[in-house]
Amino acid sequence: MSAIEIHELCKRYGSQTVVEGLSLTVERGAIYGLLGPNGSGKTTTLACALGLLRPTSGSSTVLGEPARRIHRLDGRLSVVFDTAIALPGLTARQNLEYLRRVLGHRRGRTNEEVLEAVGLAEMAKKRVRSLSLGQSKRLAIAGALLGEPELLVLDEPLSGLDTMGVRRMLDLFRELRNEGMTLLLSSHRLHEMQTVVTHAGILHGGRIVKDGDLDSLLGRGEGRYRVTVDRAAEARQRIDALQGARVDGEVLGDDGATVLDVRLEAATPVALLNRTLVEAGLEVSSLEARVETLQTVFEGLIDRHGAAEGAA
Amino acid sequence: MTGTWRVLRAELYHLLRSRVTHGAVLFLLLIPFLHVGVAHLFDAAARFEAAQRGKQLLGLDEGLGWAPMVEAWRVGLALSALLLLIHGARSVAGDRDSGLLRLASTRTAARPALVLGRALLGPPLVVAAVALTGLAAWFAAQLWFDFGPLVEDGYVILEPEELRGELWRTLTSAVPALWAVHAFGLLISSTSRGAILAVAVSIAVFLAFDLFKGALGEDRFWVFASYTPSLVDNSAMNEMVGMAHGYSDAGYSEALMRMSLVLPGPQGVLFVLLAAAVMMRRRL
Repeated sequence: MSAIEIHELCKRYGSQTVVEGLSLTVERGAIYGLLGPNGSGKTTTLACALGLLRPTSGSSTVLGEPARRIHRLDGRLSVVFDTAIALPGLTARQNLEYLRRVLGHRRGRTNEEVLEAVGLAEMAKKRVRSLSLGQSKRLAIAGALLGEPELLVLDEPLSGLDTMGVRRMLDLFRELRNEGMTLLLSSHRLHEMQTVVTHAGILHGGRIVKDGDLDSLLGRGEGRYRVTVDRAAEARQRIDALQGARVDGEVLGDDGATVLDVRLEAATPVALLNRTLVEAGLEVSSLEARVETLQTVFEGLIDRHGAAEGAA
Repeated sequence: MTGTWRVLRAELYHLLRSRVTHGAVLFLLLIPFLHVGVAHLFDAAARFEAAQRGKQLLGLDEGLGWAPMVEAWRVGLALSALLLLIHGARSVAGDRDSGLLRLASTRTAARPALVLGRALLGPPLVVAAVALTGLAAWFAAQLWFDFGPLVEDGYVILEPEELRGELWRTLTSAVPALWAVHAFGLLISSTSRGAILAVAVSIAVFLAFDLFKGALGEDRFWVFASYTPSLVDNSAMNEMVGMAHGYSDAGYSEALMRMSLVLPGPQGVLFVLLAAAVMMRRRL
């Protein structure tokens, strides 16, 4: 059984479509990043998937329970939305005590342990009113760790945190995963998320435009090269002509002038590509392995979607 | 029901530790106390003036503590009604603002439980408000006045037992209305977009009814808010003030007393049910 399954989720406000036909599965034990820019529908997707907002159509299950009945999970799920959960008139520790009462049992981590985990141990007796935004955020996450949640859903967990806070939080996420917890994190901070997620779905305009495990998203294992030559169009023709014969690969794109984006199969050494181009009389000024990041993948996808929508 | 009890326990925990609550308790103790203190000053001044002029002061000769105590208690309960309204109005909307409702609904509580748990907080709050304001008023009146029978010109108007009985009857009639005020705040809260708006709307509606209820004539007594002490007071407590002054020995009419006991409760329950129904459909 998956931790979360979302099937064909749609949410419309009047004529405005916020989420459209969104399906995704979060497997147990994964850290799934729901990634996209502000306004792409991340929070709405989470709210619908968790039964906090009624979807226009579609369905979801969380740890096997339908979205509208997730309160029956009795503490197996923990959710923190972007808004920090805190009662400003109480101290950090009293806030956790309040949440314990809402949770209804005392098993799992102690207040001190969760405060320590998020780096707020010394703030236990401070009233939340006097905490910074980042500290309030960390307190909210500390609250989410109370009890024994199997699934942690965090909306924009890194927003408002400073560099050290981000680092501590990412370490915490890894640690929680190692303990067997499943995490679903929504964020627009792709760079930091890349260091922690095992799976990701890239959201744009209320749709998942690409998802999968991190290796497949980043094209790891594929031989992607950026080739700079004096005549890109001629180089492209040359590679295409030899495809399957000497060079096993394809040209994924070019800038129309000097730069080519080439993918080579593992059997084709990069030196062969270089020799092929040189023998064809082309001047190769650089040939470098292309390292994808979530940011570049995201930008590529958005460019392609923008172009497709423009063409349509 | 588990979720309801958890919400109730958590809210009680919050309430007992919040500085706002501590301030409200102090306020509810202080205002009746000061009210009696001011009454004492005016009474002493009037007696001094009468003595200077060589005249006898009109009015009661004995049992002077009842009137300032009941009057101060009435003022305390009017403030309590406002505080209960604000508490009810802030609760759901404020916790939605802070994300607490989301947390509770995703972890343990069904949506109706988020309202029911808070509604169950109403009765203990009402009892506490009645007790605190009464305690402060009684304590202050004990300091400066006597609590014997109401005697005017040597004639006993009312015995202490009669006054105590009537006061008990009066308080009994105020309790359901005060709870309904809290439930009304909850209803406004569950329909509002934010805590500040909820508090503002509920106070505006409550005060508007209070100021314009006279236009409804006798029909105003079908509405719960007519039985709570307020600015334009038609409650049993207001009648009790007249009794304690020795102006009347009739008290609240039996018909109104029955209505005050019967009507506010179901109206409060209706507010809670409507609030729960709204919560079932709203975004958290």
